Amino acid sequence: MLEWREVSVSRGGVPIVRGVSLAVRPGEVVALVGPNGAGKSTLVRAMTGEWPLSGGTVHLFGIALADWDRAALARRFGVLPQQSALAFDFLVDELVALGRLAQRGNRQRDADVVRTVLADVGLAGQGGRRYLSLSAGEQQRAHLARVLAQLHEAGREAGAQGDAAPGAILLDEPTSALDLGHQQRLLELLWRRSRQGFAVGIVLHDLNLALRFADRMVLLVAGTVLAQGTPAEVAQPALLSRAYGCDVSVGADAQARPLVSLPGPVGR
Amino acid sequence: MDLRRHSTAVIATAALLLAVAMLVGVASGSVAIPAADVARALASGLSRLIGAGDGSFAAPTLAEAVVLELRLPRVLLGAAAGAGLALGGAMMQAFFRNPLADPALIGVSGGAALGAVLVVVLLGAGIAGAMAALLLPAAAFAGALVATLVVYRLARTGTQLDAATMLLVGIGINALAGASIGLLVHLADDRQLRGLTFWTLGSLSGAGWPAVAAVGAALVATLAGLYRMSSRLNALLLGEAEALHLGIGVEALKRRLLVLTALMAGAAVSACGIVGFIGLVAPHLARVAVGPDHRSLLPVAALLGATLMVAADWAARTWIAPAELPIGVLTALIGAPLFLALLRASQRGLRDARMA
Repeated sequence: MLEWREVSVSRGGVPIVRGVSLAVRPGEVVALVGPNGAGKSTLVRAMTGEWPLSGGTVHLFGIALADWDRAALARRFGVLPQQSALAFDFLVDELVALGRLAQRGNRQRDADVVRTVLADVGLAGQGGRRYLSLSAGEQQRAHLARVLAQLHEAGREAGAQGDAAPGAILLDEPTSALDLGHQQRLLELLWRRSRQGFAVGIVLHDLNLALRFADRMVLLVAGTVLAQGTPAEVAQPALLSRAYGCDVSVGADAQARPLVSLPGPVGR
Repeated sequence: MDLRRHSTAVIATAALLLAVAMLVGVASGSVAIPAADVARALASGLSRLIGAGDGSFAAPTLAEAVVLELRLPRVLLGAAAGAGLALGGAMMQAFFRNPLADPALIGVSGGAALGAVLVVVLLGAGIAGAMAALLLPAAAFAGALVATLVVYRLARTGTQLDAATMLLVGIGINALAGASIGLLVHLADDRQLRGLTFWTLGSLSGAGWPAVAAVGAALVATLAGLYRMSSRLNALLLGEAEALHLGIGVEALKRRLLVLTALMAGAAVSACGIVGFIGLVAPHLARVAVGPDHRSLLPVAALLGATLMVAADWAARTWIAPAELPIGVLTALIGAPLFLALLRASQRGLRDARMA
């Protein structure tokens, strides 16, 4: 369970997030959507403690962030930032194994976990490749594998702490470099984790991906929550048009599920 | 073909290279001494050290005096300072997450030298002996610490570090330190200052057992401080935010890196002046051999740095013997082209990243 309680964040005197209260509960996928500069990434950084809050508190699994031991927290809470600028040429195996830092496991166990999560993200057998030789999409998936390796024993850890939610994961634009097939596979993978009890929060730009995979959507505009609810509740043309400042229409796909689209050039 | 080899084999090879370089360094110099006499001198020094001599206190031969009082401390000082500068470079590179960070390039060594020179000038002739042996490194440490903090503060915006700013700030600090040292050296006319080239291009000519002890102690302290830190350094390469997400106390880790680097640079600079590029070249070669994982990178870089320094000093004192080149001239001849190549590679990397 991840909770933002009346969270405000300012940078350089400019308020970016204003009094947002939100929760990502165990067993659900929550998509954070909204226009550029709405404060989506700022909410992620507020939860991790990277950026100080000017108001409010954040709680993870019912405990305030300040009261967590960072290593213990890292075994249950993983974060995938927008894009990591790694200038050093690690092997994929070495990179993913960095996710095991907070674990007290043994080397053989770590190697097994690395192999498993690499297969999960579609990089089976690619552990010997060098990070800088990977494509942008492969790099993104390698970083996701690193976070999955970090959370691999989250369930057991939670059991020891007497908590129902095994773990939580926050991802900032995890699909930005991925092709359609990998978007599907990655979000399905995260959805399955949520069904194992994980609290999954994802910042997404692609509204259609959010509509397909999220249990709830949170629409942020100018640092406040404009709307939140089920995908059907948020996929309102008037609401989305107002949020994004352009004429968004909502139709339906072959299974009668909502589908967001843009008007395209006027007169075409 | 993958150049990376099993790290144990690389460490063994690097250790062997260092042993060869040290033997050559002890065995050759401006005075020609037969190998047998060198070996005898080393053996007698060793037996004196462990108290296993025959009890006779014969006056040392010329070979013994040259080998034990000149060459051996010089080679050991070179090895310790080279290893320390290589570790300092590797630590700075992790700190700035950039393989171009070198203590001399980004102004850390310049700050150390300025600190040392200031102490000599301010305290003038009153500084001598044990005072000097302690005060100089302390002042150099303080200068290195201040320089690193200035570079870090100016190169940092939010959680991002800008490589270009880091190098530009280094240029500024180096210019300021160089000019100040030049001014002080010319105004002071104090023998303690050992001349401008000592501070700007470095030399091991002042080597003696006290310097070996000082730099050796700093090296041991650095190695102890780095113990079990390798995995956290690996995580830091991902970025400060990512390291935090992995459960690492990032601020404490950075403080420790700063202090250790300043300690090592301060000790090395106060004993042998500013010797550039060792901190750039040794970690780079080590990365080619074993990759960026600090568990194998740190030992390999330290051994290579020691080897490079001993070899460069050997060339510096034998190439145009009986005259002597400043050792920084040689390390820059090797290091500067590599720096330019690395700069070009990193530009290409940035461009690719932007296009992706």
